[in-house]
Amino acid sequence: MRTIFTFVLLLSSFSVMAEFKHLRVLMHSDPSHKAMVVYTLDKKKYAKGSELVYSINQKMDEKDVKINKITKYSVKSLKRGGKYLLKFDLNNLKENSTVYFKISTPNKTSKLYHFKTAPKDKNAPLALLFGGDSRSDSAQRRVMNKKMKELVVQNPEIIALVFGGDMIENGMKWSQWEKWLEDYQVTITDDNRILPFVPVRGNHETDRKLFNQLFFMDEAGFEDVYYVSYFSDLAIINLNTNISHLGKQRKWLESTLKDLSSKGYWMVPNYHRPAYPAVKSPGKAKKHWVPLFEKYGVDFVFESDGHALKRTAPIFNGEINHQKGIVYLGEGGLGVRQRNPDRGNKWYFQSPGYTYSMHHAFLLRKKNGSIKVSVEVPDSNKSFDQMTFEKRNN
Amino acid sequence: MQSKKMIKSIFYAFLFFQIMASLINIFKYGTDIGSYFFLTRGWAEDSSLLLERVWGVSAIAFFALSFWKRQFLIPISLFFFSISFFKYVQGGFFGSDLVVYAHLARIVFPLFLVFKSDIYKKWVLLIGVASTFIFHGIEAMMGNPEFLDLFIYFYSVIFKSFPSEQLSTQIIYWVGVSDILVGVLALIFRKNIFIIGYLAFWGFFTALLRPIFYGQDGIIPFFERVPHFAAPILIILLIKNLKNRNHRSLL
Repeated sequence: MRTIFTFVLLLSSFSVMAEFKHLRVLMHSDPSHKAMVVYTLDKKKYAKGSELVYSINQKMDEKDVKINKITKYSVKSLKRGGKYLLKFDLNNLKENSTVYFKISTPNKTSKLYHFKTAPKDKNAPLALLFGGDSRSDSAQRRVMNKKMKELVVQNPEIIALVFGGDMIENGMKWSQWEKWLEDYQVTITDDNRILPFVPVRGNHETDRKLFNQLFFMDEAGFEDVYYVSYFSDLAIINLNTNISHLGKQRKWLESTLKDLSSKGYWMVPNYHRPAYPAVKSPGKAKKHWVPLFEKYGVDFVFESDGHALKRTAPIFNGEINHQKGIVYLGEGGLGVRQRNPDRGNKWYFQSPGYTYSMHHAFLLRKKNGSIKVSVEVPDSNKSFDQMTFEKRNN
Repeated sequence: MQSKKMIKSIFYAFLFFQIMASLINIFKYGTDIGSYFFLTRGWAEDSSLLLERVWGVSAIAFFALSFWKRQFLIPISLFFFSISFFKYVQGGFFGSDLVVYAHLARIVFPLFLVFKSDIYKKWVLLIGVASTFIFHGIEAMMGNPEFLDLFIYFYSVIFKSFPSEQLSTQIIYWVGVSDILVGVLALIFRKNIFIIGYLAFWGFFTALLRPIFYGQDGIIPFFERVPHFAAPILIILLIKNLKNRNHRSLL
């Protein structure tokens, strides 16, 4: 009897999950007010009659709760894999709030999920996860996703995961994307909290169109995948190392940094190919973006691609400078096999810098006018490293 | 006899720089050979690094042995093929599907001395260089951002201002068209020294853009591209030799 009951329970849970496959929440520029709830459909006809209901800060079964209904959705056919994506746009959300939502079709209703929007008040506590490179090793990717789930439970102020690119090995293979999207479900907490995702393109996301479709960069008007995500007065400047560094992007970067700097934002660039790598040769960012970072005084930088944990000493003008220097953190440890970064003995890893072969995610916590960044590693409840950044006076 | 020795010396010098550039790359940063065995095949990192390093050092050993028997140049060609092939397998950069064809000049360059006949020598280099030009041309037409940045930077060095990306994309597109055209013309008019001379000039200039763009980090990429201009130079010498009535195999 118990076996039959378990079987029926499993079957029913599969049927619900099958209806809302790869459920995820995406955030782009305005995570305080906007989010996209997205899932994958095997057939377009399954979209018919879909709707999303949501409430702010109150679960739907609570008294006097205001329930909002969205019946408008968009469905797009993916370039590869013969699947469809269904998206609900949640606009005009309340900042610094918990959004509870349910999706339903004429036949099925999902569980009650929730996620958090970013605060606008610069004094409100805020946390983000950073990481990159989850390709090639699904088992380790799941370990890291589980770690991030634990971090979300321990740090409820986490808003989203800001990803540094190279989610999968071959961006043209739907089977790899499918596995990655399945693995990302591991980040959903036991009380159904979803970790929203802020995307950046890595060099292995080779199919630009498919990447843009999957993360709705095409609809958002960010086809070239460089944009700013505003988390109160923290501006995450997401850059694309797959396209020209010197063309429109550099022009945009300079005007953006100038604007953000004059308005007193915390500025944290995030991109894939590193300027100060632990393992490989430096990317073009070193010559063409770093001078702008230094000119406008960005606070610190996230890089990916190298498959190693790194923290550089503060660097300014190609030298270590503890007053004006910028710390580069990275570089890709969300599942891909980690490389031994000992090659080359690079000068910028002298103390307090370091580099190790170690899977990792960064937890950024903004509180009381400073930002604390800790290095979180699997199989340990303690942070591997912690550092504090004070706001620069630009 | 004197010129034979000199040309042979030039070839070996070019080849030496090409091999050394790849070897330094292997030891300094690693290649996609190691990445493939480490990331895709699940080997231990030490083993995958050891494999590519042994393979790189073997190329130098084959180079030395080729002074004794020129057939040892064949595994050097295989060495360069393997670097390009695993780049293709690993992917992750613009034009990775075309990389073996785009790198054909580098791959076939060591084969120059393998053939006895000057005709075969010329053909192998010509096919390699033409393929490199044609497939780089295709990449340019597709808007390779690497080429775009090289152009924008070079323009900014000369004119002290950045051109628009739109204009640069259009120019790079037409540069690509001309690369394809010249690559095809070189195969048709294979005795035309002006066309082959242009290949040598353009191959040298585009290789030189790497150190101009990347500074010190561009020196190795420059030497990796030595065959892009060295092969046309050798083709010109072969053409001249084949025109000679008392033609004997050059080397």
